[in-house]
Amino acid sequence: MLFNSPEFLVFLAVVYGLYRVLAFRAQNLMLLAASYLFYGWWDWRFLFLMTLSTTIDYWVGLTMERGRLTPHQKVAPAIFLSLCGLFFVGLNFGELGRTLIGQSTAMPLVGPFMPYVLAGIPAFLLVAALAYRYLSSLPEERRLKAGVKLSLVVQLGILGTFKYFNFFVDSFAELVSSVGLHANPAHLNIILPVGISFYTFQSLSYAIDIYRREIRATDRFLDFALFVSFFPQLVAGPIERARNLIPQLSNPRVITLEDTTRGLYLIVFGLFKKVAIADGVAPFVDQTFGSTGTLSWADVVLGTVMFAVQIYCDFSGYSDIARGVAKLFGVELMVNFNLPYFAKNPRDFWRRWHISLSTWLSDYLYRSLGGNRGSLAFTSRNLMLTMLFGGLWHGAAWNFVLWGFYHGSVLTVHRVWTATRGGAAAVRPLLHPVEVAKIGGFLLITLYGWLLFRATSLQQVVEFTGILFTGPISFDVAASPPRLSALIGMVLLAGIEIAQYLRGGNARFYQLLPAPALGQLTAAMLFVTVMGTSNEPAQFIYFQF
Amino acid sequence: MNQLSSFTSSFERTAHARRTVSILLWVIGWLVLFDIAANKLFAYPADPKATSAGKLQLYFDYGRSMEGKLKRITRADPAQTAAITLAGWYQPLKALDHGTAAKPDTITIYGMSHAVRLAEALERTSGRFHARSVGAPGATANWSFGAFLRDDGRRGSKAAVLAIMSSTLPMINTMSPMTWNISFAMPYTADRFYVGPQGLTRVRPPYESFADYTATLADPKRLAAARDTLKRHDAIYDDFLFRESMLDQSALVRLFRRAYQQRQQRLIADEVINAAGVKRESEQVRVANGIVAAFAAQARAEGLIPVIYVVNSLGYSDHLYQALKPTLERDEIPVLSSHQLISPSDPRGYLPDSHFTDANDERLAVALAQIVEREEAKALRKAPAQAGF
Repeated sequence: MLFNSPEFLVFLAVVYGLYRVLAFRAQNLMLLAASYLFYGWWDWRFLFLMTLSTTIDYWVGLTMERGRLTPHQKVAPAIFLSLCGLFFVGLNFGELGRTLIGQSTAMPLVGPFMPYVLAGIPAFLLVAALAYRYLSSLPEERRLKAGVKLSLVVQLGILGTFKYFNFFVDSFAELVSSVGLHANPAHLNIILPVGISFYTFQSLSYAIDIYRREIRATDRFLDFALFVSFFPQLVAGPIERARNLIPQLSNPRVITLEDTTRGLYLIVFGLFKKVAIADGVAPFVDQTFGSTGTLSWADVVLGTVMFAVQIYCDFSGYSDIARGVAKLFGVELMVNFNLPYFAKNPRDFWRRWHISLSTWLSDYLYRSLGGNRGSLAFTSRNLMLTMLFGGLWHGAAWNFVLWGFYHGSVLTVHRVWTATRGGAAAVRPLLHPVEVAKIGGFLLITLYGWLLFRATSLQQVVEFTGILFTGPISFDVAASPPRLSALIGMVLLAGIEIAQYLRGGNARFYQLLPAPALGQLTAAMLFVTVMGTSNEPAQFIYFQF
Repeated sequence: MNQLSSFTSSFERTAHARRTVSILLWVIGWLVLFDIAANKLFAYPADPKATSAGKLQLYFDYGRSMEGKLKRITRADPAQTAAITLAGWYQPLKALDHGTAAKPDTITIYGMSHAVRLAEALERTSGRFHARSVGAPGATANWSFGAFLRDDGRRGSKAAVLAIMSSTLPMINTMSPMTWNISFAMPYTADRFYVGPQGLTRVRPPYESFADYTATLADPKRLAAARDTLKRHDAIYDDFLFRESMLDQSALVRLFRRAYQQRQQRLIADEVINAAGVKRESEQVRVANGIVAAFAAQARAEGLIPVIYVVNSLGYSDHLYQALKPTLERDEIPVLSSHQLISPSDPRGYLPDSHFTDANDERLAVALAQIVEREEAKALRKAPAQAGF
C-alpha cells in the first residue's frame, strides 16, 4: 500500500478512528493487525517471513538476557508463528479472502506449499527448542555472545537468501568464467520482499543492544511484534531503535493537539515532496537513464541533478509521512533527513542523509570494527568497509558497491585531510562565500555519487562519466521536461529549505510564522500536490531496498 | 525545553487550539484564493474556434468534464464550431489525398496521426505510390477498422494499411475518445468490436456524423440515450468524468478529476499493456488480434495487399508487436513494426509530441513501399503456379 494512494487514505482514516476509541492494549493489537494488513497488501506470503524474524528475535532476546523463557513466552509465539505459516503460506490466502466476500475464482483453498508448512513448522520448533536448551545452559557471557551470533546468522541469512543469493552466485560465475572456467550456477526463483532490509536491521539492533546491555528484553510478544512491523516505518524506515520505539509502544501514549498538527504538517510536506516533485521528475530521470540512444552532456548533467532531486524528495518525503502518521498515534520516530544538500563535507552529509541507516552502520558496524580507536589507516579501513556494506545494503548490484566505495573514499580522503591539516575549522556566518562554496563543492561530489547509484550498469557508469568529463559540452536535452508540479515544487521546496537553513536548521521554523503566512505556505504545498496527483505515481524508491 | 512542544496549562492548550483553527481557516481561504486565481489567470478561451490556448490554460482545464468541454467548443454551424469537433466522423468519411503528382499506384492508410504522417512521408519518398489516408486524431484500431469497412474509395488502392498503436491499445474496446481522452475533447465515435465464438461482431456507435452529434448534445433525451449506449458498450465510460456539473468551476476539482482519470486509465492500461509487458489474455489484445485478422481477410478478398502498421510508443518496447505476432504469422499478414527501425526506448527517435521524427517517418515509408513491392512480387510468383492447376 503506497502512502500516496487513495487506499492508504481510507486505511489511515479507519485505523486512526479505531485507535481513538480503543483502550491501550487493544490499540496495540489493532495496530499490529493494521501493520500486517499494510504489509500484506503487496504479498501476504511474506508476512510469514516477518513473523519468523520476529519470533526468533523475541525468543533470542529474552533467552540472552534471562537464560529462560516462561511457558507463555514459549507457547504464544509458537502458536502465532504456526498460524501465520498455515494462513499466509499453506493456504491460498488471496482465494480465502475472495471466498469470504463471495468472489471465489474456484481456485483450491490449500496452496502448493501446505506440505512444506506442515513439515517445516514442527521441524523449526524442534530446532528452536534444542537451540533454547543449549543457549539456556550457557553462562551469561557466553549466552549473550551465542545469542547475538544466532540472531545475526538468522537475520542476515534471511536477508542474504532473499536479497543477495542470486547476485553473489552470478558474480562468482562471472569471476570463474573470466579465468576460463565454466560455471552454471543454480538460481533461486524468488522475489525480493518489500522493506526486508529495513525490518531485519531494526530487529537486529534489538538483539545487539541486548547483547551490549543497552536495553532490556521485552516480555510482551505483541509489543515486540509491533516494534518490528509498525506500519508507518515498516517498509522504508526510518530504521528505528528498540530503545526509542519499544518504550513508546509498551506504554500508554498521549496524543496532543500539537502532535496531531505537527503530524498533519509532516504528512502534507511529505506528500508534497513525493507527489509534486519526486513523481514529477521521475519520467525525466527514467528517460535519461533508460535511453538506448546517444546522450548529450546536458542529458547526463540534468538527468543526474533530477535524480538527486527525485531520490531526496522520494525518500525524505516517505520519512516525513512516516513520522507524521506515527505522530497521529502518539509515536515519535527519529528524524531521517536534515537538509542533506546543505552538507559541507562527507562527514556532515552522513549526519544529514538517511540518518537512521548511517547511525545504525556507525553504531553496529563501524564501532564493532574498532571505529576510530586506532591509526588513521585503521580508521580509514573501517570507514571503507562500513561504506561498502552500506552501499551493498541498498541493493544487490555492483553499482551500489561502487557508490559505497566512492563515498568510503571521499570520507577517507576527508578524514586524512582534516587529520593532517589539524586545528579547528573557522566559524563563519552561514551565508559567508566560503561556506556557500563548500556547500556547492560538496554538492557536486554528492551528485556524481548519485550518477553511480542510479546507473543501470557499470557500462553506463563508464559511458556517462565519459560524456560528463570528456564529451563535448552540448545543451541539447532529449528527455521531455519535468512536470509543472515538479518545477513549481522545486522552487517552493528550495525556499523552505533555505529558510530552514538560515534559521540554524530548525525544522519547526514554520511554526513561528504568523497564521496567514503558515496558512499560505501549507495551502501552496497542498495546491501543488494536487497538481502533482496526475503525475504517474511511482513506487517509493527505497521500497526495493 | 522547547516552548512549542510543552503545554502545561489549559491557557496554552486553548491558545494552541485557537491558532490551529486559525491556520486551518487560513489554509482553506488561501486554497479558495488559489483556485479563483487559477481560474482567472489561466481562463480557457471562450471562443470555440480559439485553438491556441496556452499551456497553463490547457493544464488547468484538462480535468473539466467531457460534456463541459464539448458544450464549450461545439456549435451547430460547422463554420462556428471548433475544428476538432469536425474531425474523425464516419459519416461522411473524409479521405486525404497526399500530393497531386500522378503516380501509378495508391496505398490507403487508416489510423491516427502517425498513419497520416506515414502517408505524407510515403508521398515524399516514393515515386511509385500515391498516398491516401483516412484518419482521426488519436484513432484507436477499432475506429480505423470501422473506417476501412465504410471507405468506398479503398477499392482503387494497391494496398491497405491499418495502423495500431501500443499506447492506445487499452482503449480498443471503447466507442469514442470522449470516454478515455479526457484531456482533449474529441467527439467523434467509433465501432465497438467484440470477439466471440462466431468471430468478430460489431456494434455501431450512437451517432456517426457531426450533425447527429450536435443534435444529440442539444437534446437532453438523446444525450441520455447516447450515454446509455456508451455505458453498455464502452469499457471505459465513467459518469464522473463524462457528465457536466458545478464541480467543473473549481480548478482544484478539475485537477483531482484529471488525476482520477489518469489513475483509472493507468489501472486499465496495466491490465493490458505497459512498459513491463502485455497481457495476451486481455479482451483488448484479443480484439486487436481479431481486428487484424478480419482486416487482412477483407482486404485480400478485395484484391488489396493488407499491411499492419504497428506503432510502438516510446517506452513500450515491442510488446504490441509481440502480442499481434501469432495472428500476423498464422495469417501471413505483412507487417511494418516501428521497432524494427526505431528503438522504442530512444527519445531521440520521437518528437516531443510523441510522433516519430520526420526522418524516421520517411524510413518507415520507404520500408512500407518495399513491403508492398515484396508482397506484389510474391503474388506474381504464386500466380503462374496457380494457373497451372
